[in-house]
Amino acid sequence: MCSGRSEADLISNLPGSIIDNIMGCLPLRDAVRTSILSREWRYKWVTCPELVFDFWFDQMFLGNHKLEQLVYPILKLHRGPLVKFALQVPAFRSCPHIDQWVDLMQNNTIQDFTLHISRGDSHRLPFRIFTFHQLRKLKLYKCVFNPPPGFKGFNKLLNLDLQNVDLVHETFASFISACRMLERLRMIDCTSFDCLEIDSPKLKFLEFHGVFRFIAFKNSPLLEEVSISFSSMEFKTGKSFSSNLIDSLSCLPSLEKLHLQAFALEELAEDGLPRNLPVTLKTLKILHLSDMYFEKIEEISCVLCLIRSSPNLQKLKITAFTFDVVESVGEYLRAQKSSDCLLAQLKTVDMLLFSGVEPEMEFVKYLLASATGLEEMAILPHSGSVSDGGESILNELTPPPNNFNNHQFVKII
Amino acid sequence: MSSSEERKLILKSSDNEEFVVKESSAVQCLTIKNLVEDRCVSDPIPLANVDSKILALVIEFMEKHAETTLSNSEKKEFDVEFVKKPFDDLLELILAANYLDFRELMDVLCNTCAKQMENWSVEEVREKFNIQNDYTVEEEKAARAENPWAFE
Repeated sequence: MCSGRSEADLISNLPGSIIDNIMGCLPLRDAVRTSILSREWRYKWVTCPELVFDFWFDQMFLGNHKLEQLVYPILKLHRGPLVKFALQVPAFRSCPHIDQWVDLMQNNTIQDFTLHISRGDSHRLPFRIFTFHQLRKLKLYKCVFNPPPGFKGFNKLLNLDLQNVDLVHETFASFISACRMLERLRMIDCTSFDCLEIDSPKLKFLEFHGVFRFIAFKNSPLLEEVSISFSSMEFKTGKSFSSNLIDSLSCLPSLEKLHLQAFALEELAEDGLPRNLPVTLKTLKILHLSDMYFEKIEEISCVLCLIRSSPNLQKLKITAFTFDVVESVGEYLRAQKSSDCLLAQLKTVDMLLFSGVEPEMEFVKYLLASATGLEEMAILPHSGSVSDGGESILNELTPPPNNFNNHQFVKII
Repeated sequence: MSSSEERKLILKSSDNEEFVVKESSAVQCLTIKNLVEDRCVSDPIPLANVDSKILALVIEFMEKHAETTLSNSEKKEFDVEFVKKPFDDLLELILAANYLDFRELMDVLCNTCAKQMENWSVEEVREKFNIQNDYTVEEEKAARAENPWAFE
């Protein structure tokens, strides 16, 4: 088989760090396949600092082999520092093997750990995870997360991503507070909270989907992007829910980008339709309001109130969720004074899932008349409700060419 | 604009061609950055392991990635086009990036290399890299049997 080639081997003698780098970019299966390239290559893959078990390890590709039987031998063969371990495989269930795998991982090298349980019961994380003091990124799906008493936090953790994770109220706030370097926190469909406390001096990004009654930001001076959405309407336990939420958000000195569902604001209207909030969101530049029904005057008025209370807002994005057309909403909007200088700073508006019904159109017309500094309005029609690609919407919003207030910047996307 | 942004360096390739670059771009290469910080910069800086063809490409990448006006997606678009080169050039670039300790370039190149390898059969990988298969038939069988799931 030896053909007597005189050309040098181009890769096998590259420094180990380069080979490891390339190996780390290969899917695990391809990395393991390099073991048969030549004798030299038999165990090059075992020093790859990353072990990622992903969709390829779905049972349909593995044939007779079971994932649970493969992970342990691979971890045993592994040499050198293991920096990343990820297991995110379809139909993966909790099993006792997981704790055995965690036992094999060196706790002083792992920086990136992902465990994704797809089906069945949540997996109770072994205490050994809490000894991984080099962790920078932790991503958990369907686990039970309960730090042991006296746990001093992951003091290098930058990124925490929790979905469907069971948390313990008493320990979670102090856990977050102990992870002093945390920059990104994501909590999706985790345990419901009565009061969610965020004490996180380096936090820049927060995404929350679930249920809380109150949120309190203690010491979050760098938090610039917040996205909050509620998985159930039950959280709205009467008065002052919305004003508490806005009050908490107004305490964030760096908040630039905010996403809320429009209905989360409705309680602001409890004491009559507000014009302005008692607080201003001075630093807010981008506001995204989703699930906007356009069916209640309270919703519209609270949305306008929030926009007016954000003096430096440049971009507004609205995702509509309109089903019923309510006439009084259109009337209310027509009655609004359009000489509203508090909207003069707005430059861009995106209207998504736009059906073109009267309340939506009146809202857009109100913005076009009041936001005197507007440079761009992009409308993405809801394909289920709009059959002409948005042409009639555009015609209604764009006056004839001899009108000097020609809204040339309105476009359908 | 502070004076360090205007400061220039001269890099000399192994075949004696000289290239003028901004210091602020060049320090993306940690090897060069260390020389600058330790005030060991000679004029020009000799790069014995990088020829002019490859050095020109490294500089192209270096300057693009140093541009603060470009967004990350614009830089990624550039990277996609940049790596469309003959495989031999990519390997030489990897060696240069390693010698210069230019992490960003190294990551882009290793990723490209890996993506190409994914598409090749074992035999093709051997061919492209000139890897001599020195396994005996029994040895190769044993190697395959260690991780049978990877070969089915």
